[in-house]
Order: sequence, then C-alpha cells, then structure tokens
Amino acid sequence: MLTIWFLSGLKEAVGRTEVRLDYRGTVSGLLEELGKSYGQRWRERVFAEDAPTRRNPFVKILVNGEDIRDEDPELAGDETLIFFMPVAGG
Amino acid sequence: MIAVRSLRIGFLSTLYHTSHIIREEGWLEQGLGVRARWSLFGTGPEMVAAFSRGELDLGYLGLPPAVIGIARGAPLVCIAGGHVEGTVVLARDGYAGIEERGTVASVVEGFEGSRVGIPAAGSIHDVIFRDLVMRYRTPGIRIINYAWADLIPHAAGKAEIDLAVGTPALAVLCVRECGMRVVLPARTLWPFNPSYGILAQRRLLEEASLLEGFLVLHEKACNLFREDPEGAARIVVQALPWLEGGFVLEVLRVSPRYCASLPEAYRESTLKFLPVLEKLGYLDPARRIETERIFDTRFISNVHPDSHHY
Repeated sequence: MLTIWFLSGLKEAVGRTEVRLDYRGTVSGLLEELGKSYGQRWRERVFAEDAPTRRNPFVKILVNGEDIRDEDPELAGDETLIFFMPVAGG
Repeated sequence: MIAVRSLRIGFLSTLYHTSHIIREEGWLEQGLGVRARWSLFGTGPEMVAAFSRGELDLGYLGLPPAVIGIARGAPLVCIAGGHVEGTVVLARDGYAGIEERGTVASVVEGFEGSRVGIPAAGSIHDVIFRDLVMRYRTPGIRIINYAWADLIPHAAGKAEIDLAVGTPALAVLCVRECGMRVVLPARTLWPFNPSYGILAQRRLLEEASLLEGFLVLHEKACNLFREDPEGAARIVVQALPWLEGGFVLEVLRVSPRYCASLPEAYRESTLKFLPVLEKLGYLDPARRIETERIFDTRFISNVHPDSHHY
C-alpha cells in the first residue's frame, strides 16, 4: 500500500491529511487517479492552469523523502509520498 | 540601455518576499520589457548551488548561505536588502518562553535534550540556532534539517520534533496546525539579521540600468508590504491561491520590517555571521572575506538614497 500525506495547500483540497492506497504505476498516473476521488478542486491545484495534463510547478512531491522535481518515477506500491504546495518559506 | 532581455530569477515560497508581487503583477515585463523566468527553491543553499551552476541571474535568499557561496567562489553579490529579523523559535507545550524565563540564555537552557526541526544546514535559521547552541553550551540539542520548511509542521504533528525554527510563515503554520507557540520571537534572536536580500550574478553588474530598474520595482513592492499589508496580501493570494488572506496578513505582521535598502546596520549584522560561519566550518578563518565581495551598494544607493525603513 502507498502511504500518502497531504500537507499545506493540498490537504484542504483533499479534506484529509493521510490516505492509504493500493496503486502501482507512475506518479502522473497517481495524480490522475487521485483526481477521480478528489475532483475539480484537486485538478485545479495539481495541474497547470494553461495545460491540464502538466503538473503545477508549485506542487512538490516527495517519494520516500526524495523530491522528484520534474521526474515521473514508477511506484512499486509500498512507498511513502508527501504532496504539498510550499508556504513556509526557505 | 538594457542589453539583457530576460532574467532567470530564483525565489523561495516566503510570502513576504517581493518576488510574489513582481511575478504576479508582471512588473518586469510591463515596466522593463524584460522576460522573467522564475524558479522556486526550497532553501537558500539550494539556490546558491544553482547560481554556482550558472542557472540564475538574480535570487531572493538569506545572507548566510549567500556568504558561504561567495567564499566558495560562487559569482554572487548582494545588491539590495528586503527584510530583517525573519527567524522565530517555536516549541510544543511544556517549554518556557522569553516571557517566563526573562533571558534568551535561560530559554535555550530549557531546550537541552530536545529535537529541533530547522530548514537546510547553512540556511540563516540553521546558522542562528547553531550559534545559540554554541553560545549557551547546550550540546544535548539534536538538530534535524529539512529540505523544505513545510515538512517541519508535519514532523511536529507526528511528534518527531519538540521545537521548530524558521520564518514567520512557518511560525504561523506551527501555531495554527500543531498548537506550538513562539518561545523566542524574531526580535530576541539576532538584531537586524538579514533574513533576505537580492543577490545578483557578478557579470550582471555591468547592466546598471537593468539592475536599478529591477530594484525600483523591488522597493515599490517592499513599500507595499510595509504600508499596505492588506493590498499586498491580496496580490500574494492571487499569486498563491491556495493561501487564505487571513493567513497571509498574520504572517506579514509577525516581523514587519520590509525595506530594499542596504544600511550599515544590515551590512554589519551580516558581517557578524562570519566568525559563526567559521566556527561552523563553512568559512576558512585564514581567508577572511572582504565586505566588497559580499555587497555592492551602488545600485540601491541610487534607487533608495534616503534612510532605511526596516
């Protein structure tokens, strides 16, 4: 099972902070999958305004603590992911 | 005459940095005819690494990581200020603050044995806190550095840390979400500490009109944060629509010391970091860095010749 934490900027869109999900595949596929559960508000935040399939550059995704940046890694299904939109400064 | 028609600018999520206003309002494009490419970073040290790779022309960051970069050969120089005193220490229940203990030393003694969440090693927050630990001889404190400050409230929520150190925005998040409270406010830590400034690639110093044009916009946005926080907050919320206005205003009021100038107090406070950075092993004591390698005040002196507003 994936463990997914939603922090600043995204937990409000999802309505919770932690989700466990049976999923294997790419991170971009996971974003689409989550869009089915969390709808328009999720899509508005996670995808770029001008290109609905491109990730919003303000959405940060850590997989097992590593910032994936612009990559789209394959998930084996047992990782811990953290999604957030930075607000706390540097 | 502006020869450069595009600028690569590194910025942080810190919501009182003028980057959010200038970017959202398109001031560079409209005012200077310059195309801006903005890149978001998690911490100042990460941005310095990007400068060293030649990937940035301008950047918004705290002075200690910039000084570390300059000492190691990064072609950087500080051309303007932005904000001072942007570091706050918070604690969960059970810790006494400055009001109860009366002195910083006494508050820090109470941290013995605690776990502290701080942004990246070499960030201004990290250097200020490690200086406290050295000065008040509290070696039993365990510092945990985070690549993104947003992970600190998450760690506090999971009881992985007892204390948090970071920006006013981090402070408001930790108070709202984790029930932490401020035990050492910004004003008690390091007077006039340069929470952020504008750093430029050295080769850009030949572009005086471009830099002064940018600094005019930067100063205008600093003034907006200081004189019209409600108006500034509205623009920040447009730029970062996942924030709510009340949160932004609360953050802006924690340490409202916004100005673009580089007064002596700002520069002296920066230089006081040098011996601390030497003790922490970032700088070589045998090769003391000169003030002129850190600051170039020519442009901001033209743009902001009067007294500072910090």
